[in-house]
Amino acid sequence: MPRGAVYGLVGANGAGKTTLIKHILGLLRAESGSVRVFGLDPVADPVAVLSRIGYLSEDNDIPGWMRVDELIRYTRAFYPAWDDVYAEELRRTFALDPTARIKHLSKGQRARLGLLIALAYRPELLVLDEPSSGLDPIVRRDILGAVIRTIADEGGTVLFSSHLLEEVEQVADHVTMIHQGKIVLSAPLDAIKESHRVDGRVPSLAEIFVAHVGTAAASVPEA
Amino acid sequence: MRSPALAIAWEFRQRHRWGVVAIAALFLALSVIRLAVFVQGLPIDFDSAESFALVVVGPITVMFTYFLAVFTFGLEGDLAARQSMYPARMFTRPVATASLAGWPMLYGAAAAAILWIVTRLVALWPSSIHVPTIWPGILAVAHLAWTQALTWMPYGLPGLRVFVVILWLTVIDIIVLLALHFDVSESVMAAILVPLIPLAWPVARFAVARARRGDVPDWRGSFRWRAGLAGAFRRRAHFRSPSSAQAWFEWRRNGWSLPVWVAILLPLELLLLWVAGPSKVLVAEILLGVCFTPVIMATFAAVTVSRSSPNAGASYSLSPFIAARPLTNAQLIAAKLKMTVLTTALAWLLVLLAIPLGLQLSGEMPLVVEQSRQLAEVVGTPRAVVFLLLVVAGFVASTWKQLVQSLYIGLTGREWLIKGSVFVIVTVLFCLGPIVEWIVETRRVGRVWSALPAILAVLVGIKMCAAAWVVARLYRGRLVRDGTLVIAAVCWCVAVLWLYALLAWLVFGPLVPRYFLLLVAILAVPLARVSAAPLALAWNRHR
Repeated sequence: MPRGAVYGLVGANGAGKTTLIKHILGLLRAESGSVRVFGLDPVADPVAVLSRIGYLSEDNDIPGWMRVDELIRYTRAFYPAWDDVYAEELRRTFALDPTARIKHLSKGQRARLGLLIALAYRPELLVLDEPSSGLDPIVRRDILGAVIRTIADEGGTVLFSSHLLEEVEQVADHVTMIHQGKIVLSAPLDAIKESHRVDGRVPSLAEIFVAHVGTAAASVPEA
Repeated sequence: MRSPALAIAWEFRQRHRWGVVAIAALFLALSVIRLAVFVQGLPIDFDSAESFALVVVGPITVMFTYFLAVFTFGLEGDLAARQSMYPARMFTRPVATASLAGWPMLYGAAAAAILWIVTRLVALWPSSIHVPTIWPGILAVAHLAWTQALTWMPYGLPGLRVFVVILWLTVIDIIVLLALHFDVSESVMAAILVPLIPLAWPVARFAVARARRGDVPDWRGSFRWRAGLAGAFRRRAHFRSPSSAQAWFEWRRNGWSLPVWVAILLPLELLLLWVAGPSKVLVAEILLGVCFTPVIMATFAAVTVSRSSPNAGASYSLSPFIAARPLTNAQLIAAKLKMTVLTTALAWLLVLLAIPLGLQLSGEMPLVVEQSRQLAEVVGTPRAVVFLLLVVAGFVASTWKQLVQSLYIGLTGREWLIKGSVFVIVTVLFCLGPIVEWIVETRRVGRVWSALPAILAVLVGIKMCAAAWVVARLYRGRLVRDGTLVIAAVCWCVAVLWLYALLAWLVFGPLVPRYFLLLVAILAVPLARVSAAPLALAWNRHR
């Protein structure tokens, strides 16, 4: 993956998107082949890799007993590049009460908080694993806004996993489709659309997805 | 599934079938051992209360505690929370509240009763101690029923549930102790205990009904001053390093549980000093019990300390929130170890403050001072002081050891390994008592004593081999820096030599050879299991 682009990772449930992301974070050890992030093995050198990655997952398992300001202070300690001004700006934008306990926040607020701690140190690689699943349109807009801002302001790279194809289509430069653990299509979005043009009509990403894995995906059990 | 009763029973069976199988296997093994013992006519007879407690009461208590956890849904709930521990997922089922409360209580009662009956039939060893036939079983059922009712109740304050449950169960136990004191017959005891069981059901039903309609009282408003006070002391400064941030995280997550448990139990134990009177033995036993409290409580606290996930009720594997921290496995373990040192220190600070206070207020201080003076006269003041310091240091070290020695199992995040280790421990508990009794009864103590150096040497060999394997894996996996490995090895050697020197100075006479003391010192200072913790975490973190 070259720097400075948004990579959309799409696939049906159970296709292997989260598994791939876990490999990138070093949470899984490769049984064959190798994984390199920033030229490093994330299993052998987790500190060097993880300190440059911002990560937000659908599960968003931030401990509920912490308060918002405690989480911010705690997370800040791990990242020398943490930007207090930016973090405060994000906190205000997302209307997060610093004294609120995380377990009392709504799902959308927790997602915003997760986004805050993933962005405030301006990571070189932002990994979003189904970040907007089950969230309202306003939070989804915040997340997409953060993706665009990461690229526009920081020149970072974003890996955006989702099965909400319209979202991916809005922000991705490059799309990778995964099916049953294998990449079935990987190319710039424009090139994909161009190559699937039928009678002069450019199909949507959803139509292309169905054309490639739709029938097979339908037979894959839910993960 | 044709009825709610069957559905609830199926859920219990499905979730805990391996636990039940393990208990059944233990009973089966015990029956076979007892049969073999009887056939061979081995003179095993548990006449002392201590050996009887070790062999019968210990294992049955472990199993009963397991049943308590299962049938109160304690394995998936938060004991300290205000909300009911009854699982909210069951509230949406089209089942009457009476059934939701009633069926788990009925199954729990049946399980506790069966546990007692089976124990009575196959797990009681020959003994001159009279074991009642019925009432211990009824007491177990009453305990379980009331624990269910009180843990399912929503409370107005966090932690209040623990206090209420302990208080009420203690009241039941006091009733039983009073009845025993007055030598009541078995039928009278049963008549006292049986009414307690149906009384628990309306309370449980009321508790589940409140929880089901989301009626959780909130009395925290009356304690706003406490929140304000806590807020004033809340950490505002930035952390100096990632390691200090992680140590803070571990402290907030696990650091308070041991001191809080000790603080709850200490006053209850020290109250006994007021009834001890001039009995030296009783005072000594009470003080010994107080000193063992942090050690025993550390065994329970270790369950959460060695848990990979910070969220109660979550899976055994490491949560992505922790796994994705830019810290090495060694740094994550170091934060845990730092927390265990602090929590042990705080728990023992409470004990060391409470004991003189309790002795002074109860008027037992002169008795203890006199005993200490006599000890100093017999062995000399320096030796007496060192002996007492060594005893305290031994208790403190044991508390810490209890907290950390299961890290290498819990941090693997493998459910089969964690549950398997519990099974092994319970099995050892079962077998240890009869073996010790057999050794004593067959007058093999002398032979065992002669073989003890060889046994210790074998254990030391196993420990050193395990440590060498762990260190080689740590080195090859680059999990710990070379310098850290060297420093840890030097520290361990210094600790062993220091302990050996102290023991050699303290224990004089020809009965105990020096090499024996060295073997004891090597075994006493933790090495292999603590060193294996980073390996376990790496296995869990990078699956």
